[in-house]
Amino acid sequence: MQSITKSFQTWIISLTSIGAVQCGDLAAASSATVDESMISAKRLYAPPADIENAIVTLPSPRECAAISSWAMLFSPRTERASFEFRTGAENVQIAPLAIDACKWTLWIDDGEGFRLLVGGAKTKGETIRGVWRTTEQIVTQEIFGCGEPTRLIDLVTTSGIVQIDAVMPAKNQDVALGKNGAQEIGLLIDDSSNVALAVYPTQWVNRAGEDFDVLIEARMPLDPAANPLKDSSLAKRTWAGAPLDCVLRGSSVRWSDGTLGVAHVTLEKSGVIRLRILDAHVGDATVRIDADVTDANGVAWTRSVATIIHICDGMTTLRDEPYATLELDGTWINIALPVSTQEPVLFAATELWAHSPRGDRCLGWIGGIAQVESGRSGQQVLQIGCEPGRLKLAANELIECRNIRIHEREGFAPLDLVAQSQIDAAEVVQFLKRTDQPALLAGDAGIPGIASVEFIQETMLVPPVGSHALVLTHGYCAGANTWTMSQFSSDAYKYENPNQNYSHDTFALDIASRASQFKSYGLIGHSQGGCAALHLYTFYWSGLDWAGPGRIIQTLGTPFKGSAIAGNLAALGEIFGVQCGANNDMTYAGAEAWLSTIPTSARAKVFSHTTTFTDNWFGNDYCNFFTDLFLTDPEDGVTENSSGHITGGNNMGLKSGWCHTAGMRDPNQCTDSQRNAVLNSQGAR
Amino acid sequence: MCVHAENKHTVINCLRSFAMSCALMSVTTLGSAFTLSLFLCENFGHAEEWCVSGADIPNAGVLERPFTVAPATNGNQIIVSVRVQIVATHPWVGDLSARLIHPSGVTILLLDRPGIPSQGYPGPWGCGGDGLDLWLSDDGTLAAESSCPFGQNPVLAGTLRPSSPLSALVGLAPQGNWKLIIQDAVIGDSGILTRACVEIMTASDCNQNGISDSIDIASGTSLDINSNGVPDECGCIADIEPNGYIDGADLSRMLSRWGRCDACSEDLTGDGNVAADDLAVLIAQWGVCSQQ
Repeated sequence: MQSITKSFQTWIISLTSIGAVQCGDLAAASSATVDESMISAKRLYAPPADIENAIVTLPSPRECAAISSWAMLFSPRTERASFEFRTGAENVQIAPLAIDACKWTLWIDDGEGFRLLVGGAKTKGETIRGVWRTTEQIVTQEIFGCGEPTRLIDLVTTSGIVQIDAVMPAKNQDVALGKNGAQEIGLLIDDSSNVALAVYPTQWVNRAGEDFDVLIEARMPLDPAANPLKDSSLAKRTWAGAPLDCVLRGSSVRWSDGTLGVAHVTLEKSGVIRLRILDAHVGDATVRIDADVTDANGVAWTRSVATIIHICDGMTTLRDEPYATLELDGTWINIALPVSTQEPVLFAATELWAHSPRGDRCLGWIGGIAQVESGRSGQQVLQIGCEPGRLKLAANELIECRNIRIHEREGFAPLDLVAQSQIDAAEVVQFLKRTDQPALLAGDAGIPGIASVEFIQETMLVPPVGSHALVLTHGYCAGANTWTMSQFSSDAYKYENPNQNYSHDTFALDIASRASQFKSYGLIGHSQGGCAALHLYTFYWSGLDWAGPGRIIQTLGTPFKGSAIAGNLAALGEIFGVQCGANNDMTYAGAEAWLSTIPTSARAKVFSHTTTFTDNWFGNDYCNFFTDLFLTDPEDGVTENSSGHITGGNNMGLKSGWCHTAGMRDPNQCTDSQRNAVLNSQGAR
Repeated sequence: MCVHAENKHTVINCLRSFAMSCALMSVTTLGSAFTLSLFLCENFGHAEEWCVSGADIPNAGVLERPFTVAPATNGNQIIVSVRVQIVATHPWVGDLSARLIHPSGVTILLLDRPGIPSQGYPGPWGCGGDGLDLWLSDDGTLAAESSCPFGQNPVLAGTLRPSSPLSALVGLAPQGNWKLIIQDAVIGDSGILTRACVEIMTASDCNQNGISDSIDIASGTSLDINSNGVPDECGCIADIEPNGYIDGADLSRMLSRWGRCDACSEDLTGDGNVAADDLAVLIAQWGVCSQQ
């Protein structure tokens, strides 16, 4: 056994297996060596309160709608690209979006004929001999992964229709296809009006080969400034009156394979448009909607929404009959959910209810990442379970499953949902009615043998192998880990795996792999790293479970509830290239689907911090001009404060003067020595 | 209770009250549906507990605790069962291994870094729980190696099975210099052995065949004609005229009771007759009677 310490220096960790475990008693030891280590999935249980408080219930798709109060228009990269929009504002800011945006000349026609837009003058909107002189500033497009800047131009216009033409310089026409295959140029328009456009699919599960519907509706916030912590949700936000009239200007659906989809448009009801998208392709579809919204005063505003809708392959379903069987397995009650799938591992969950003529009683919620197994009669099943003591039944009660669901492991998109199913397992039900149930033993080890993920272990290890560490992670697609390590003690470990587009699950397994050189560790997660930390703690056994005392998970700028940027970055792939690619986990819908699988007991381990820009009394403040349009204040340039904290977690507050990353207006939040001192001192090891 | 000072360590020898121990002797199949299991219980024996206490378990080091077992009972004694108690603090039990070494060199692996190899839980570094307060016994339902109940403190508690069976010590003589060795395998965490005890249950083995006398008698290996619990080959049942010798005086007594008799001491075979078979036993034991 002493050779273990040495072998850690160069091993390749094969997370070759997963077993379902809770309150672990180990399976019988085998002859496997340490470098064949596995990771085990936890069996999750949430009490009835988590169902009553909607912690572990899947929200409606409408609650997860993508919402926009700005416009982002696209045009093919031709010699002259035209953009037309409607606005009721006098002051409008526009910015061309392209890899060579500063080299394009812009022309404006707001009803008085085309004039050349020339920035830099002190006087706004002054036309001299056909030239519109206005103020502009050069802003970075780094948020889109583009190293070239663009122009942010102030317009003073009359209300109505405005046309902007962008003319490509002749010498730039050789980049017509653009870097990374970019084939379009965009125009971002911010008119500072709160008229909002929302888009959402009508159902959670959308399958390849089938049609699916998207609803489009426009709303006016009642008072967007009334509550700075307001939720971004379409359902939860307070709106004024009925939906506003809106006219669809254009829509596009781009499948994950790059091809374009076909859609039919119908008027659902007053103010709501239905877009039926035909013959869905598997993967993450990017849906773009442009619409003109007419407010209560009859003024039209152009709005754009880009969102990602996950299309599953349709090969994974919960089978019809019987939905669930209940078995007593040692000290566990197992519920086997019959499935039909080609996937080896899925997430499954169900609510459990006691049903009797006198009424229904909620027993709780169980779930977990589970291996697809063979059931008693050879059919495919997913087994989830809990301790029998959770499910005590009265004499006249039967047990049934409600809101059964299965999710993909990658991205946690729902794959199938079933509202209700009886469980017929008389012997087990009788057992659950006994008042003298045996005391719970330590539990079992579940079933290893699930193919997982393989990561290469680093050879440079600081702090020492086998110690107790504080692991600091970066976020989605980060070029580097920007935590100021000198502000942390010597037992801090810098996780670094740059420029990756990982699902929360893959990210979590990568952290587990790299951090398995330590016996135990607390995690400090920046951005998506915080989601990955919570995912790891919730669904798998790892060094996090053995850490303490102290705070096991501390997060900074983590978009637990998603970010509008996810959908828009996907849409902007046509301009800037796909960069790290779309990430369904970080859309509003994807994040809510994922969050609905995390019980309060796991959320309670999270201590979340958020930041925002310094709000000066003068001028329009933001961390990043572009993302400020996408996000609801307060935000840090990527993560909204409302998304950075979760119900059941520990809200450690919002701090001004710090932005999400370097290159934004205020300093990088990861370099705040004051906060880092707290994270360091409070973090569990 | 007696206390010995030995090798700078304190060794405490505690005589425990006798606890009956039973062993499965044989299983006989009767037809296809029934088996007859014969359990024999030790009713002659005693348990003694030998304890060591108070020592640091060094970080990535070895704690070696020798102790000398000197059974209070005279005569040929053998081990019939052993249990080991370990009470220790350590923040990472998965670092620890423990061995018990019999004077003959037979080594029992009590603990072997619980949780390693991992089945996914508790992870590659083994059981991360705190502390031990357990008895290691072959009778344990769960193996210490694979027991790591999350959230329990001490994490290893109750009666658990050792990594290798303590039954390997059965039949060996208890006396001599034993060792208890506890090893911490990983740099970083250390602990304290609060105490460790070895409970040794012994029984008489007068014929020194490695099997306790009662089992020899019950299994038919040895006769116990006078039902005194001592195999006849060890006793002097023919010493009818008790003087420590099987001699002419005993022969004379036997001849004087020749023929039928009920429960007389001259009926060495207990068949109600003093006859040639009794004479054969007497002749077989002729001479000095050294066993009693």
